[in-house]
Amino acid sequence: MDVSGQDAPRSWLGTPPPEAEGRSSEELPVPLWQHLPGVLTGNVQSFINWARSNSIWYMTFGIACCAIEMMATGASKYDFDRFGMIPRASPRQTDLMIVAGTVTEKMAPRIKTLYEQMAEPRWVLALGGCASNGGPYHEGYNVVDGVDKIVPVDIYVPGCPPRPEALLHGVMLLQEKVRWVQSAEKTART
Amino acid sequence: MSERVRDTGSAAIRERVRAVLPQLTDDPSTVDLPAFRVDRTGLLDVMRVLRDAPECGFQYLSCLSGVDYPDHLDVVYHIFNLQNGAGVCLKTSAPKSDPVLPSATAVWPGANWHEREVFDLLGVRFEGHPDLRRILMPEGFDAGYPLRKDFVDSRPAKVRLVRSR
Repeated sequence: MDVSGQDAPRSWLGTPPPEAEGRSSEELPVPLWQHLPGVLTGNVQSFINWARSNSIWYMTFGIACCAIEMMATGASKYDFDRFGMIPRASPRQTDLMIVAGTVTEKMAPRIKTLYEQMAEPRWVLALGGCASNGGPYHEGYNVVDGVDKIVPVDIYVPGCPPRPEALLHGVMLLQEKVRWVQSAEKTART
Repeated sequence: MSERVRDTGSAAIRERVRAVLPQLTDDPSTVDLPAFRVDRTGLLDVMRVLRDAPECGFQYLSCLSGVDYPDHLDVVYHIFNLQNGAGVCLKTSAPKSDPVLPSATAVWPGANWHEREVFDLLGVRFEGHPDLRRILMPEGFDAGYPLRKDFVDSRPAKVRLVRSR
C-alpha cells in the first residue's frame, strides 16, 4: 500500500488490485468519478464490502486478560465505535469474533460452537500470544496451542497483551481484507 | 458470643489450640500463622474440635490447598475465627501410594469445590465428599493429575485436539 499519498493509483475504494502491481498509473483505468464529480460508480460487491468493512460488529466475548485490552479499546479513549464496531452479546448478530485470551481445552468446544453460531460472512481475530499459538502457555497441559487449531483465523495480533493500538491496527487490517472480498462465495468457509 | 477471645497473637492462639488438642504437633515451616500438623486418621475429629470448641471457634475455612512433595502429598487448611480474627494453618499428608484423606465437607461445607480442585489437579481422593468430580480439567481428561511434578502429558497433539472438539 502506498503511504506517500502521491500519485497513488486508487480505485474509488480501497487499494489497487494485485494485478495492478508493476504497471504504471497511465495504464490503469481512471475511475469515472474523477470525470463526473458527485457521481459514485462501482460494482455491487464493492458497495457491500464498503458497508461491511465499516460495520464490523464484534462479539462481547473475552476469555482471559486480553479481554481487558479489548474493553479498553471499546471504551471512549480508543473508541472502537469510530470504525462502526459495536459489541453484540449474541453470536447471531456478530461479524467478528475477537478471541481475547487463552483457549483452554475445556473452553475450546464452546468457542467452536460460538463460531458456528455466527452468520456468514464471519471473521476471527486472534488477540494476543495465547490465542495465536498458546503464548506463554504453549504446550500447557490444558491449553490449545492457538485458536486456529479449532476455527480459521483471519488476523493475528501479537502481544501479551497487545495494546489497544495493536488491536486497532489488526482491525484496520481486517477492514482491508473485508474490502478485498471478491464475491460472496469466497467468504463461505467452514 | 459473650466470651469473645480478643487476644489473636500467634502465641496465644497456639496456646489455646494446644489446650484442647494436645496431640497436634507444631509445624515450624509456616511463619505467618500458627501451624499444626495432624495425622490423617484423626483429621476429622481435630477439625470438629477446632470449629466447635469455644477456645477455637474456627468456623470459616478460608483456603484448602494441595502440595506435591517428592514422597507424599500435603493438604493445607487455612481456617479462621470470624469473631476475633484469629487463624491457624492445619496440615496433613497422605502417601502417594494411597492418596486418600477424609473430606472436610462434613465440617466446612465450603470445602466442596476446594477438594474437587485438589482431586482434579493432584489426585487426592477425599472420602465422604458428596460429589468428587473433576472441576477444572475437561470431563474426558484421563492423562493423570497435571499439577504433580512427575506429570508428563503423554497425549499426542492430535488426540488433544480431537478431544477438545
